Amino acid sequence: MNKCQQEAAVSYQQELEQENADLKTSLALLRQDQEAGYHVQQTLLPDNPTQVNSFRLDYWLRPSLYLSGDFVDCWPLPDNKMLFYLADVSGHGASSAFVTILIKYLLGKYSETVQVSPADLCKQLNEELLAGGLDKHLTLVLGVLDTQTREMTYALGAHLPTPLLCLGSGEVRELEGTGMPIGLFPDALYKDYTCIFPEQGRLCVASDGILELMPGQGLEERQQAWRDLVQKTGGEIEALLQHLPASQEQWPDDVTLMTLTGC
Amino acid sequence: MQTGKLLAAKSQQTYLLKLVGDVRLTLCCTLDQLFEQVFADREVRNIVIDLSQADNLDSTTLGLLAKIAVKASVAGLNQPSIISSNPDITMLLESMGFRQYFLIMDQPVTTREELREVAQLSGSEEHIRAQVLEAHRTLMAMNEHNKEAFQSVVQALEDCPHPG
Repeated sequence: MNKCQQEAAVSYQQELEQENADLKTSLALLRQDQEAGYHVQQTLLPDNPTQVNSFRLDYWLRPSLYLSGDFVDCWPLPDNKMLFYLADVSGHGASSAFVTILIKYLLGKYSETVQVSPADLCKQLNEELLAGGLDKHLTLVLGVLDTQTREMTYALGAHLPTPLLCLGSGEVRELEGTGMPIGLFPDALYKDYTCIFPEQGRLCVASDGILELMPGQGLEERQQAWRDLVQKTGGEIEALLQHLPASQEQWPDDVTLMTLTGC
Repeated sequence: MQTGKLLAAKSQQTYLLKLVGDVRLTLCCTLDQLFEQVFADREVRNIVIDLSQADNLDSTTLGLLAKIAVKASVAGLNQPSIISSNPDITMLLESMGFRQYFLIMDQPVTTREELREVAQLSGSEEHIRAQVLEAHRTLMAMNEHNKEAFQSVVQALEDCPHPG
C-alpha cells in the first residue's frame, strides 16, 4: 500500500467512525423521544386501581415497543354510575397511540350528556374517526355501570377476545352481544346490551395481543385457552400474569388486561 | 409462516387481488397505491379478494380491505367478494362485520366449467334465443337450486314463438 492509499484508508475509517457516532446519537434521540411519549401516555391512564363506590378497576398494559395502541380508562358519572372502556387501535406504536389520546378526549366530551348510552358513544366515535380520515380503526369494549343497582349497559365494537364475566360461583361466561369495529364503516350500527353485574363477580377484558400468547392452533383454540385461564385464576390480574410467558421481549403486540371487580 | 405477498390481476371488468402468507402492515402502502389505481380505472366493475392462501392479516390490512368495500359502494361497483378458506381468517372477518359488506366465499372459483369467458351474443334473434335457452338449460342441469331458479326463464323462452 503506498502512502496515498494509506491516507485514503485512514480517512475512510474516520468517516465511518463519525457516521457511526452520528447514528448512535440519532438513535438515542429517537429513544428519548419515544420514552417521553411513553410517559405522557402513562400519565393519561387512570389511577391503578381506580375505585368508584363499591367497584374497583384494575389494569395492566404492556406496549410492544414504547407507545401503545391499547388504552384503558374509567371515570365516575353522575348518579353513582361509572364509565369504563378498553380500546385496541389497529397497528401499534406512535400513530396508534395518538388515536388512543383522541378517543380519550372524544369519549370524555361525549359522555358529558345526561343519559350516556354506550352504543351512542360508539356511533359518535365511529363518525368522528371516519370524518378525520386517519385510516385507523379500533375495537372497543365500552360500558356504563350503575354501582348501586349493579346494572351494566355496554356496547361491543368487534372486540376479541370476547369479554368474560367471572361469576361468584367460579363459573365464567362470555358477555353476550356483537358490534362493528369503530372507524371502518360509515353506516355501522351499535347496540346497547344490559346485564346485572354478578355479586362477587369480576369482568375480565383483554386486548387481542393476549391471544398471541395463548397456546393452541387457531383463533378458536386460543380463545378457549384464554377462557380456561380466566376460569382457573378467577380473572385476577396478578394470577393471570403468572401464567403468561416470562420473556416479554418477544411479545409481538400490545397486551392489555382490565378487570372490574365488585367489592 | 410465509412472508406476505400481494398478487394482482385484471381481466376485463374484474380486478383480482390475492394476499398470500403473513400479510403485515409493511405491505399496506403498496395496497393503498394499488387501490387508487383500481378505483381510477373506469373499466373495473368487480373486485375479488382472494385470501385462500393468506395465513394471517394484521389489523391495518383489515382496515384497508374494509376501505375497498366502502369505496366500491361509493363508486357504485358490485359488492366485492372475498375468498377465504382459512377458518381463522373467516372468523376474524365475521367478527369485524365484513359479511355485511363483502360476499364471503370459502371456495375459490377455479374449475374450467365455472370460469369461462362469456361469448358475446351475435347473429339472428333466433340464434340468440337458442343460445340463451341452451345456456339456461345447462345452468338448470348443474344443481337443484339452479333448476328451480331458471325454470321460469326456460319455460318463457320455450313458449316464445319462433320468428318467421
